[in-house]
Amino acid sequence: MSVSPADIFRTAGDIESFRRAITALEGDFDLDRAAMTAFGKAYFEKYPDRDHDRKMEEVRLGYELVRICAIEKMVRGLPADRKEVYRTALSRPASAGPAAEGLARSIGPQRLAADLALLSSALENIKRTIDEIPKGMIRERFAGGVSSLFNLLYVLKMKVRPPAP
Amino acid sequence: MSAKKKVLIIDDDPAICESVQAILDANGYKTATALSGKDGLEAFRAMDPDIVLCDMMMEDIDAGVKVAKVIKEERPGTPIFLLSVVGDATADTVGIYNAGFNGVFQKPVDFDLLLSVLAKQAKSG
Repeated sequence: MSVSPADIFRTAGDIESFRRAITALEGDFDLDRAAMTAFGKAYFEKYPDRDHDRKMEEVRLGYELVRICAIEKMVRGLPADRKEVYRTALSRPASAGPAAEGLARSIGPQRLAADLALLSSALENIKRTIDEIPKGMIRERFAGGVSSLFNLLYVLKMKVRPPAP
Repeated sequence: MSAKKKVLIIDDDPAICESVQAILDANGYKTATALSGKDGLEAFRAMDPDIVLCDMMMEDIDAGVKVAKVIKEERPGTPIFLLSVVGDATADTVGIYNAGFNGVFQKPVDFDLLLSVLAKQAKSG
């Protein structure tokens, strides 16, 4: 593989262009430590961070860019008809619960649980790679970005394993 | 039936606020969210929460410390927990443990642990 999120980020005009370009790759792009670091450098070249009075929209954009890449890696091994459901569930917190309930009805709780195990495993792999990045703002932006994906997987899993009374 | 415990979630990432809110709501808590330390303090005064969950890096790199200090001045008995990737960027530069936080949950959060801690806080509160 030679396609990198950093190159796509530099040429994409906005986040939707970036999302379309990444999504079109169906997970076939680099997201190892070197690719994450290059992506982080490209992002901070365009949106330098600072300690005080930070530009929150740019910080949130960073989290969202990270999530776009992570989600594509997570759904890579799933059938096409379920990929879009999980893309939506992992991109929009309000849709996670209803998506899980719909999937539990359509594919059954066992297959849903298997999907969630696959998604979790992929996300854990991404987190392990993030943990290899030296401490600093690039690692922070990646770790912050994927954190809500762990939360949303927990929401999805609650539908398989209801919370204790 | 006892009233639902109120939890205020303060984080600059809407996806974190909404996902934590979904989990806590499903587990019987009444929640509110704020997307900055400044808005968080306003929500704190308006909501009078039983427990606060607060991010560290928001409008300032140490915004969470500032929130914790104000809350501890205004309502010293309110437990405030840090939810943060702070270990990834700022652990050496901010005084987390001197700022009055009752505990730290590293992101990604272990929700089984968080819910257990919140349940204990709710019982003792």
